Amino acid sequence: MTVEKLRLIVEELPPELYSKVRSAKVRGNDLRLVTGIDDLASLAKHIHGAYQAPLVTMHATDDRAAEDCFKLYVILSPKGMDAFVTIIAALEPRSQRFVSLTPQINEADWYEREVQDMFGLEAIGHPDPRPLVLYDDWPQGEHPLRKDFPLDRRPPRVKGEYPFTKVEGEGVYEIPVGPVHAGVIEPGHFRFSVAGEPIINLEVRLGYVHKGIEKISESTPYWRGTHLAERISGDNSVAHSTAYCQTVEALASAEVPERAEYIRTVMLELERIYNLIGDISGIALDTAFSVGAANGYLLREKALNLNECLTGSRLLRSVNVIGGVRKDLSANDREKTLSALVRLKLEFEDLVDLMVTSTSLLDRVETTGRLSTEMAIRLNVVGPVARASGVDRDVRRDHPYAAYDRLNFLVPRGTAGDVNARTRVKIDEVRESFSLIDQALDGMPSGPIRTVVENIPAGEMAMSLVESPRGELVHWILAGKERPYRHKIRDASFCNWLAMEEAVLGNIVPDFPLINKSFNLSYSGNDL
Amino acid sequence: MFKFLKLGVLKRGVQTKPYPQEPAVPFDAFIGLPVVDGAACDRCSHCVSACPVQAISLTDEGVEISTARCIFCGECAEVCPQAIKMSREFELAATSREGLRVVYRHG
Ligand code: SF4
Ligand code: SF4
Repeated sequence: MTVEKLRLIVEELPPELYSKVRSAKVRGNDLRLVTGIDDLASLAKHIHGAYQAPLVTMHATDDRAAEDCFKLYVILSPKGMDAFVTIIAALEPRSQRFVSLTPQINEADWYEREVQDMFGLEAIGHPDPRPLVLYDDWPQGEHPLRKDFPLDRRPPRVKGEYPFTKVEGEGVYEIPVGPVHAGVIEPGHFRFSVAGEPIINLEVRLGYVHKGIEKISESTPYWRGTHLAERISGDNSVAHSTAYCQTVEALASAEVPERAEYIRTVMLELERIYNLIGDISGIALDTAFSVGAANGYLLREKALNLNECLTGSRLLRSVNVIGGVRKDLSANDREKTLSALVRLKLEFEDLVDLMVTSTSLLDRVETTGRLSTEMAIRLNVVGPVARASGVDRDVRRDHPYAAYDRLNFLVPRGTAGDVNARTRVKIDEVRESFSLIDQALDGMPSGPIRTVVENIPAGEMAMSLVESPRGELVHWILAGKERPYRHKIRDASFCNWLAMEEAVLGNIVPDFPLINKSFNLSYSGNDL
Repeated sequence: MFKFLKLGVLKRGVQTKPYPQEPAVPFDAFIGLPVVDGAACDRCSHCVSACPVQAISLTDEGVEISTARCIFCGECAEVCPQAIKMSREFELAATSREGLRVVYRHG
């Protein structure tokens, strides 16, 4: 069924594009089109527009050793299909330039800036070619993801300055905030341009916690990569490790035992619960609604305790392993989870009652930080933030993995796209998570929890999408010898940071922390 | 105010523990410091290669674990059930670098 639909995409190509496709193959649910570098933009634009296919990821590989060129990969997800279109284009031999997709596909913006920094390839015609990942004191001509850049290289620091967007006019002034913040949060710089109270421009500058994870992964054997993936964004360790394991399992065409799929589902939902309760409490805190916040954090603590009780780790580390999960859930664990959930559910509804009837809270969250549906689509925003702006997308339903295709759940959505809508969507998602865990524990078959995965063929590529608490995240691996040749990771935050620049416009500065909290993005996951 | 009282959110009572005056006991499943039984160790060094972060080294003294590096993943205990167990020990803070070395002497 999927294969036919994908073949139809090739058949439906307009003749001038059809002639530009050098090869078209379907691999599983992935249509792989190879084209010339000059036709990449028009082909991608066609599929992006004709099939309302958001850009899942765009990245490069350094194939100079074998083929004397760099390659670009553009992956799109046609609406209404559990399938992907991967467009592959090799740059001309020894060339380091390609035509930018951003003027045609807006959401390619940051991906292309990242490719420019990490591979030293120039996106011709990019509307904003400033560095994204590399910091101001990084020297020119050093590109970490090139294969001839050794892992242990420490380039000298040079003097440099980042050209922030300047907004000028009478009474306009700038407020620089960060990268070091007052609370124990991660580093990021926010440059506000303000006229009176309202924000008229915000520029987010990140990259301060860039750890080189994609580079490290290229020298990390697969089994060890799971531990690495758990640390991409500390509070999304199950989501990232599941995506990583699923990618490697797909590379080896391995079948994971069904029981392991169910256990992964339980863990993924436990992760969502503690994250989203944390988000909701944070929103209460930032509206100075201390009673709500205190009760919320108490609940989050109980959820973390449940994690520890089941897995030995509050943040659910070491749950996943390539081929399944590390530890089974006993009948006793099941009982403990069910009874803990009964209490959690009741107390969560108390918390919700408390919050939605607090007029002081509602006054702060309604109409604050609005993100329109059009903007959410234009920027390809993901996760609860997108859904609160009316976008109907959830990887668990649209590209099911683990045991999600055997469970029933709703995908809550809002319309207003304000802090209130994001809070409500997160509240409803917690409710769905409670029900998903109940169902998964009920439906869990007995059997093995782990299978041996070996013989991962070099040169093969695979991808996995997972709906993390922050939204869809992606792992893509091109296999090398016993380790990835290239490992592309895209956290949900990478898609959503730009949306915050939009959502704050016209809001007053004191509402920024609240809007920021309602997005709750990861710096570490973005910076990689 | 009525709502608050009805919900009982003001009657949560004391939710914290008087730690460290009283010990905090983690759950049974908790994964803390790996403990090596020196007498059961035959110096095969499988644990050294299984550790993803090079936290284990074999010395003349015995098996040494660096709590500065260990991520408490349990890989070592998985390859060596005969000698390594993940304990529930979590009070691992030290005031010197030396204090982050835990040595299990060969028996
Ligand atoms: S602790 Fe176990 S794995 Fe490590 S050297 Fe001793 S016997 Fe071998
Ligand atoms: S628990 Fe993991 S990190 Fe710690 S010593 Fe064992 S293998 Fe190494």
